Amino acid sequence: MANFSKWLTNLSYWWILAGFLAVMIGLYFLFGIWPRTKRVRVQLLCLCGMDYVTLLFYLLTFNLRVSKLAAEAGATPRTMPRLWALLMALASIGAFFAIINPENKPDEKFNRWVFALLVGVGSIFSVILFQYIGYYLSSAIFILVVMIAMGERNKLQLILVPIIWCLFTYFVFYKMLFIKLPFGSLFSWLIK
Amino acid sequence: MSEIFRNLGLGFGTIANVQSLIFIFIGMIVGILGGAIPGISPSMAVALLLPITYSLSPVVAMVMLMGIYIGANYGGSITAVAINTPGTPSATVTAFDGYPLLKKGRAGEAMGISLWASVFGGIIGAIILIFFSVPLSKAALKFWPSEYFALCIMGLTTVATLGGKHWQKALVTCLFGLLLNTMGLDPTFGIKRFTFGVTKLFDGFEMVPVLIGLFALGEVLNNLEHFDAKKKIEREKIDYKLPKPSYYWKLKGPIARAGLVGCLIGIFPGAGGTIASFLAYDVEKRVSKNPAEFGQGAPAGVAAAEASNSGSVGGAMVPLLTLGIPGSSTAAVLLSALMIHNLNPGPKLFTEQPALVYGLFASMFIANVFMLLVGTFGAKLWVRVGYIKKTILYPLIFAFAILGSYAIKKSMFDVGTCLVFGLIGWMFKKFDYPSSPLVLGLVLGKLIETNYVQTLMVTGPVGFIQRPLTVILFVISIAALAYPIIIAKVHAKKDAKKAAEPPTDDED
Amino acid sequence: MKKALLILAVLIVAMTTVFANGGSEAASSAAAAWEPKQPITIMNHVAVGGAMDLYSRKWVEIAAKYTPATFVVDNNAGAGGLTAGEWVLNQEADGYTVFALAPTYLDAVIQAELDCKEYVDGFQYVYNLMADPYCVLVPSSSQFNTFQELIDWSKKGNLITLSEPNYGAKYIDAVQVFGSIPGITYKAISYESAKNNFAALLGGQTVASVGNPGDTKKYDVKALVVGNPTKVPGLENVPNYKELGMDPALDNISMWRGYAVKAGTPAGMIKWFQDLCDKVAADQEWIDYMTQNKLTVLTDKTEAFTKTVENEVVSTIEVLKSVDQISSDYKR
Repeated sequence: MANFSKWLTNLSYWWILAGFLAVMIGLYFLFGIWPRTKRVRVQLLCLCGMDYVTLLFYLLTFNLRVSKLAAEAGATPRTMPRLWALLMALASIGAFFAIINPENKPDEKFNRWVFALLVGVGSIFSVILFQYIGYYLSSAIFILVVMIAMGERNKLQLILVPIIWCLFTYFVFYKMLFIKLPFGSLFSWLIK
Repeated sequence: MSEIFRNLGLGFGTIANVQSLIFIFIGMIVGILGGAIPGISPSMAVALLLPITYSLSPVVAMVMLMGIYIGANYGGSITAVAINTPGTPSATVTAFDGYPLLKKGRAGEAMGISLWASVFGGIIGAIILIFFSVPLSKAALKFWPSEYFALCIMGLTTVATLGGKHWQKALVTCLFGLLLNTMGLDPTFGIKRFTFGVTKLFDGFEMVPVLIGLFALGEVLNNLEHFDAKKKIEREKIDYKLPKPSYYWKLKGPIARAGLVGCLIGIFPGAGGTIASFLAYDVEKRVSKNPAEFGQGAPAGVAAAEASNSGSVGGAMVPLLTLGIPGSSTAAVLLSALMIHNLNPGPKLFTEQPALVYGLFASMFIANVFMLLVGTFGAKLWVRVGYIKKTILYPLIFAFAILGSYAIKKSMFDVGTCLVFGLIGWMFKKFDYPSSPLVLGLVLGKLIETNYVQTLMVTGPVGFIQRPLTVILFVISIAALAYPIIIAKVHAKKDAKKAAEPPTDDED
Repeated sequence: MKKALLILAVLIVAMTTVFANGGSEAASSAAAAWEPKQPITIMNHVAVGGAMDLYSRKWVEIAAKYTPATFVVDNNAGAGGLTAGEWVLNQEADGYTVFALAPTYLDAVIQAELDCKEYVDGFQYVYNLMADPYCVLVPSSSQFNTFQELIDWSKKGNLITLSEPNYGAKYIDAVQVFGSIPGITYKAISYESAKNNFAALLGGQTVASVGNPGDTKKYDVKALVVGNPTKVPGLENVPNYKELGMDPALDNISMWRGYAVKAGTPAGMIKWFQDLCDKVAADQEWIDYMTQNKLTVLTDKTEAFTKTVENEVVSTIEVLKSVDQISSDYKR
């Protein structure tokens, strides 16, 4: 177990994320087999997502260092994660049966989830852009794009909202609070 | 006792001048604004104005900083109610009921309650501070790790009331929070845990981005999912009017109890306002005649959360002034201010600098009164957030969330944390997993572990059963867990009896 | 619509260029006579209200007498100072970010078994501001009035419980001091901050604590021994290790607090900053403030400061390995 844990510790987090996705997709189809789980399969996936992290942490505890001091104290860095993992396993069993209970509400239908997800992904993309085009331009574009995507067509508002936001953040955060927001490599390069 | 009143008179006399009053006022306004901006914590707000106080007299400097502290504690609740974004961790609990109340169209009521509860909770804290600071400071030292551990366990029992009918899911999310809290350097031995080679994870997840993500982004993403651009935007019928002062009298019970709980928990340097608000909320839900309303927009829930976190200000000042040990991170900044002015806290401060100490006490009353006046006016403006078009509000909340997460530690990693927890918050909301137990787990995890290990190191396992106070706290925890089960059984019996009786007409 | 978007794009690009211009003027000015053109951030490894934070703020207040430059004291506490250290390392080496550090940061690097080449050598140690000796403290009401009484008590079979914050520098000192005394038993218990450390000591959880002389001013405690070759003002009656007949080397271990910048920072900035530090160090207000807090003013520049840092790193690795806190394979 210790060797496996060591191997797992050295594994890149990209592999762990890929594993997570693979397990979720697998379970999605698995839960689709039985009618009792099919109606609540996303609720179950949420639970399994948390259990995936729990299992991962539990396995990783085997590679945590136990110093002499910790051993003498009677509680090591492994103690608490394992305790929570154990309780989590028990609670998950309870939650699993509560979820598949026919009296439980079925999964809420996905509405315009692609749109919401796109906004979420867009915000991540805008954050990545900070380092290239700077905070101000990136956040202005983000606000503008979301406003347009949400159906806003008032030109004055489309111009003013991003501009006011940029001015507000510049004066309050940069000038008053001295919080340096990224200007972006593009602009530093232009100035150089 | 008469000496206290005499000194208090002296205190009010000391700050009854235009300069002091202006600085208290400025401090309080800055505090409210700072607290309302996600990413600016009360301690940051106080620290930002610390340099201004160098040139002021110690009394004026301290009363101004006190004004910021009090203002910032309230400020956090404004965004919690208006856009479901707790500006400070201790305002999280305010969002549980404040935001649903606003969504129900009772915006004015939600804002009014959070203001009045904040003011009166703060005043209760100040009264306790003035009259009982010396005996309470002794109690603060009597709190050993085993008591902190038991207090945390007591905090954990609140999960039973937080989850409502989804208690199994609540338990899972709470444990998930506790597990996530083990990430980073282990608090007692400094061993790396679950950091995946990312140095930014050495301190675990920063709390504020997690809160902003879970609550604000989760809510916005959920709303975006149901947003229909083609549907004509209807201005929901929202009552923006603040209730009359007499309305708040109904909430005297929750405010008094929560103010007391907040102040008492605030005394202990290892606990804090966030735990206090969770516990006070739990108490109110338990004593409420209508517990099902909690989480759906219960006025008593908002009152309890706000009164307790404001009450904790008075509590945090107890060990600071009497022992030099700050009860909260903001109190630690006040300690710096005292020391920059060459003043040393401790029992001697009360005898050597009565004008300063009692001036500070008096300023707590004045700042709260100012806050009531300014807050009443300000709340009328804040409730107008509901007027902003959703096509502008949602992108701005997103932008605020990103900026607020970044501002705390100037770290892009925190922004990522906020976004990831935003997705988690959305999924939790959509599939009925309560987010609040996750926060509870994240607040208590490290405290539980640290105090558990310290108890073992200081006294060994016997520490958990040897100390009377620990045992009392454990008994309360068990009772808190058992109480709902017993009540449910009693109700079931009653219902069974009722069912056996012929139905009456007055039922609706 | 297209027109509106075009106007917006032009406006924002223009604004960002203007803002950015205000933000990175640094890039153009390098050597020669360096003058700051934007605020300099002093990033503390402790939270607001921590000792280094307090002294940084006082330093900035006094520095204002000698320079029109704006200093912003900022805090990035967490993971024993690693968060702040890493943040500084991620900034540009343009001289506008200064790292305010103490041994705690180095201890955290080693405790987390991080690469010293990156986290220690990634900085240039510019100015060591002060020395703060370690001392052994007990509550004022304690039965022990001398260090010898404490030792004798332990030799009778009693366990000395010591509180200290965070397995940091004070833990290392505790091991070095108490580990060198034969016939006694001790246990160092780590508390997460100074406030909890002293709450524990005053509340009777531990018998003694490792601290600094300044703590006798802040809390209701007394010092039994001060590890300093000379007498500390206000604590003239307290002996040092040499006077107690112990290893005099223990008197030369002390805590320090100083400023560092990211390696590669323009030499002009370092010179400018060191000159400013010299002026502050000679300022009577600074000297008085240091004396009141029982601190010794230091004026160590790069060479001497780097040597101090190196000693700290070497001794910390040695001590943490000896108590099995870090892997025996870990290397400087």
